[in-house]
Amino acid sequence: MTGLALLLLLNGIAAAQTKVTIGVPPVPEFVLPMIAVEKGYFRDHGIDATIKIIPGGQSMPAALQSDSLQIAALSTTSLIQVTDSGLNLTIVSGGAIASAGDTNYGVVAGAGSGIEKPEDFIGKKIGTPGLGGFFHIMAREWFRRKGVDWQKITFVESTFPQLADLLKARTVDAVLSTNPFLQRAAAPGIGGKVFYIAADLPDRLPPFVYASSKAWAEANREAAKSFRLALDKATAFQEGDLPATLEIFGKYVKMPPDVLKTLTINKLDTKVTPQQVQLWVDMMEKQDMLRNSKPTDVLFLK
Amino acid sequence: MFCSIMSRRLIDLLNTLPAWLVPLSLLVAVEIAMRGSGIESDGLALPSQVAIALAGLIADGEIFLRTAETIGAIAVGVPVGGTVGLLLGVWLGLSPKAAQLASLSIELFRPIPPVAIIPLTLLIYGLGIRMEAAIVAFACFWPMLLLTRDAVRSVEPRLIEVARMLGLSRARQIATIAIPAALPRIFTALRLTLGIALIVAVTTEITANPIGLGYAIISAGLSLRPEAMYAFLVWLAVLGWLLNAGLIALHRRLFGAAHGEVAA
Repeated sequence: MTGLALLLLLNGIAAAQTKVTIGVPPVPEFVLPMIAVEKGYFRDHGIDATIKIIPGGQSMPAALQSDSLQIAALSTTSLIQVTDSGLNLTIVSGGAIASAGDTNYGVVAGAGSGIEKPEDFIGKKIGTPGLGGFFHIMAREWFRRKGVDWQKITFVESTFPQLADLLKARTVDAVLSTNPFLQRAAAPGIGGKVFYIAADLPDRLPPFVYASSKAWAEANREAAKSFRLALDKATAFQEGDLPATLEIFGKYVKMPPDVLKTLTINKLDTKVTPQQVQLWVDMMEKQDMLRNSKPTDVLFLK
Repeated sequence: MFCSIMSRRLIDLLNTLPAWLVPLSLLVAVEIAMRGSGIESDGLALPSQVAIALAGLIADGEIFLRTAETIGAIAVGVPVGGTVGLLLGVWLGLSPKAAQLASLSIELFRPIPPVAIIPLTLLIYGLGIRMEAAIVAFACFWPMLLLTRDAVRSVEPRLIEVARMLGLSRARQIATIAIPAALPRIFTALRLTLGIALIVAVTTEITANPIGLGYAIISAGLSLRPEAMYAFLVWLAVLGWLLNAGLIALHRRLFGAAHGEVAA
């Protein structure tokens, strides 16, 4: 009898769980949902989550729209662009914060490239992961703030792992990179001066957010709220125990152990406001990237 | 005289060498060159490291799971695209009027690269096998259509005439004369189509779909495991070779050496 009651109770708990497939790129900044799965925070909040590691972010918006993902980590600039183009997506939670003190976003000049100050980049070629992506936008804004016309710089697209090789082969004069690739590009003999661009950009920029289709978020308000609460617990875990966090990350993204140990994680924060998103919109408008100017609060669930 | 004997001996020796010696020698040369130059890169790996990684992937079964995903998409996409292409190809091969009416549409849509429809299929089917199978089907449809059309067109016209004189219905003409006569060439079309299907499936996985061998290749590259990336590439090459060799063997078995279109 007791067994039957327990079974019914367990069935009841299972039935209350909302199934959510979450798409994240294989980068340590997206470790929070992995922690929330591994530590049971999602389950505690009624979410039965599956993590899908998706390299690059190009397919995420369409995957959200087609409901093969319910929540995905999107760069904030990508979210702004796709909603500007008409897709109906909404922010479920913040993800990370780029603060002025961050050393995770850098332009690494090649050793012997002669680049010592921002003006030296004029006429040079910079290897860039994702043309038009958030990193590229950040770099162009950084050059603008430094009084350098970025249109006189050539940005060429490459994947992160190739950046150090491109720099070493002098195919490019500098690369835009983030850790762990930044450290590798900045290694002696390959990289020279490193310009940490976040220091000269608006503080508390949200590089990415967790988004869903508006239809899903409206139909699953409770789950959307619970998702963020579970990520808050994961944030506390990550802040308190980096080795355990990286161990969890290594379960989802197979990396060589010596690389895994060197990973660092930016400030993660689930709080994001329309004002923070507006910082990106301002930069993108200056770079002629948007067609329809909309208030940023439409990106948030009312 | 001496030279001609030597060159004949050399030719004889070369004739006895197995074909696998060429890629093996190349890999040994690459290994020696890389070790000699002391090259360090996030995007390169020694052939010996690749071999160890391949053994590891085989031992833990990951490579079979990824292969099953890719083959699964091909196994759905090729029959769908291939069958539709085959039926339309037979029709266009037998009916010059239909072929003339369809020619503009075929030439308009055929050049569309299959990967260009990824965003559309992603919106319709979402991530997963269905989306990839749809792209594979689209890619396989065109070569199957054109090669079948040409195969049917090249059927001896007198055979069709005899069938007409015998009063066979259109359906029987197709089933008993056109398709059997064109079958060896249609099979060659299938072989080409499968090669295209493998390329398109892996490209789709690298670009957008988080399943299969393409996904494994890009994931290994991005997580700084070039040896695993190349191990998947080597496996992919072996898979393509096996697929082709299997189909050639099947072709020979079904149609014999008389239909000498098979080049290994």
